Amino acid sequence: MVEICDVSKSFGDFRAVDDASLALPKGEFLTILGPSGCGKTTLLRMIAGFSKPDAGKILINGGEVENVPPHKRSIGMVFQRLALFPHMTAAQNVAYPLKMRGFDTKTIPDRVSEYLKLVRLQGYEERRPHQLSGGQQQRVAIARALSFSPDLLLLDEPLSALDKKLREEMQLEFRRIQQELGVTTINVTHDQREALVMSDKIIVMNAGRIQQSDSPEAVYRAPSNRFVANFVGLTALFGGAIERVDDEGVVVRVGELALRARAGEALTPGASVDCAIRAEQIRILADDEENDTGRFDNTVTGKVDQRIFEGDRMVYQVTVPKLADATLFVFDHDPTHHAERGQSGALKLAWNARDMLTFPTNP
Amino acid sequence: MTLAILQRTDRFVSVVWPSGLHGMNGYLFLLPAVALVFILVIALGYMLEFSLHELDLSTYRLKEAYSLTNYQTILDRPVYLRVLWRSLLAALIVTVITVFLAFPYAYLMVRTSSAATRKFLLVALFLPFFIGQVVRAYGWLIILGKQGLLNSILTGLGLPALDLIYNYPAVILGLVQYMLPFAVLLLTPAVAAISEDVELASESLGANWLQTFRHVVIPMATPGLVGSSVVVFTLTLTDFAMPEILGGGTSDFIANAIYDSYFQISNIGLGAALAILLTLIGSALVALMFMIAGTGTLAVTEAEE
Repeated sequence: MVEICDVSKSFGDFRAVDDASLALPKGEFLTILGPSGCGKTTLLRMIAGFSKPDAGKILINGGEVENVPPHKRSIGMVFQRLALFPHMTAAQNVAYPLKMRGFDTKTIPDRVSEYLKLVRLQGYEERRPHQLSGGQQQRVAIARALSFSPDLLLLDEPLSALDKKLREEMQLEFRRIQQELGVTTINVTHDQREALVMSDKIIVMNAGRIQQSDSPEAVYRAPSNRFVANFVGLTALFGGAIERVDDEGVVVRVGELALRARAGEALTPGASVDCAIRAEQIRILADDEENDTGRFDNTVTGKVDQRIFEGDRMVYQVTVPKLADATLFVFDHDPTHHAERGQSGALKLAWNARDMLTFPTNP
Repeated sequence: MTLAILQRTDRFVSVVWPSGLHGMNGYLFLLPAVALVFILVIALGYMLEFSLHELDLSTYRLKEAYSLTNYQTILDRPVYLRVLWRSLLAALIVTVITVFLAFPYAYLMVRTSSAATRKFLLVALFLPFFIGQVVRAYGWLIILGKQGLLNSILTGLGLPALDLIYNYPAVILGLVQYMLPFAVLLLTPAVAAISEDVELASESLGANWLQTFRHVVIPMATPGLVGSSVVVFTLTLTDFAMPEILGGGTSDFIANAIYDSYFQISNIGLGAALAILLTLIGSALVALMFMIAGTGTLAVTEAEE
């Protein structure tokens, strides 16, 4: 459906997109995830036709689109600031692409009400954008981008300006609408939760390069490098050196301790690595609880630097002196019950080898 | 000593402007502007009064008795109706041409990605403001005059010289050139208020640039278009220098007729009547423009949010 082959784009000396390739089958929901300035919006704008790649090819439905202007491409786009037409009503906004694309005028009113119904905005036909709430404006923007049945839907961070609750509601709405219509969709965001919730597939980008292209589960559970591990989820990262590699995995020397980690890429003893462990995979042991049963592969004791109360959980930021003062993050999901923990300033932490990843340190 | 003065000043201020009035401090700053406008209204009142008295040709004073003779004269003498019609037509033509030319200028100035281009356009826009209207009119004389630049080129090429000045088109040309910066200045914020995303959205929805322009850019720029049209229209309608210098008596506007009434034939009453008529027609037309374009256009700038 959409194929991007070795596309690059520079602005002056700045390489915004560096040799990016991807392929998206019909009907799938792809999210390009990355921090601001990673090139994801530049890539999206090239797909939309607002700018041309310096090198590489973009194919939509098997055809190269380099010389196809935006208005001749069959692409619906929802913009970051929505870009609704303020002088038109909701219905007129939705009817606009139909008129511009020469739909039979007799069918337009039916189509408009069909799509306003799809986004659950019946009764708001005559309102102008400024008479609608943020969420309702989103719905008009989606209806407008879809009413002409485009081959492809592009979302340029349209949810980033909404408050958390509305954003989460709209994430599910976008997903519902996308699945109902089966429209191929590319979404761009810096919000990892949005990417995980909405997508069939996630591409993580950084500094113009694609870092990983995988299912949401794979991106979360098996990040392909240090950047992805750090960007998705709350992850502690610290340096170490491979001590030995055996059948069960690897042993990493960090400060005074030897930790067991999941076997990663082929690593040789002595190689320096970055270790990554996610906050939710670390258990807090009671002060008198010993790891004598061997339930956990690694146990350390650290000092609580910070306690961040997040309502449903407490986040502890813990420094471990024996791990060369590495900082770990850990969740306590029952803060009321465990309130006494951490008060003493010391916390006993444990985790398993399969949850700890190692990546070769970048030279 | 100083303290005593300060204390006395304080006491004086508290009497003139008691603290209870401090909530209205902001209005205090409005006073000079309000006073200026008010003085103008007083002058207009006097003008209205003058216009209602006929000139006594034996004394060259205005008669005591009230009459509509001056207005009757204006309506009876074809020359005044011609002047009126000429001014209105010029205002219309100049407005249309100026706004038509100013819009692309403002658009390019807002949208260009090159800082150098924007700077050049800005400087070119403000430069004419340093040169007064009269100087610019004389500039046109140098270029278009009988022995002007253009004609010497023509005769140099063996072509006959043309009469390029002292006619209506020359006045229109001079006025368009004079009004252009005003129009651009008033259109620029209106264009800047249209986010580029809206145009891109229109394109991705299937509109070519012409359709985008017609259905999105123009409607969204309406407040600026109305504003600049009103300004250009009224400035042209009331203009004096261009018809005086470039028209050379062939293309007098109302302002020239008023001037002649006051200073050539010394008929204050008639001049006042013409001035009142000009004010009424101008105000009525501006009101009409706002009504047609919708007074709401001034509120369209309401955020999209």
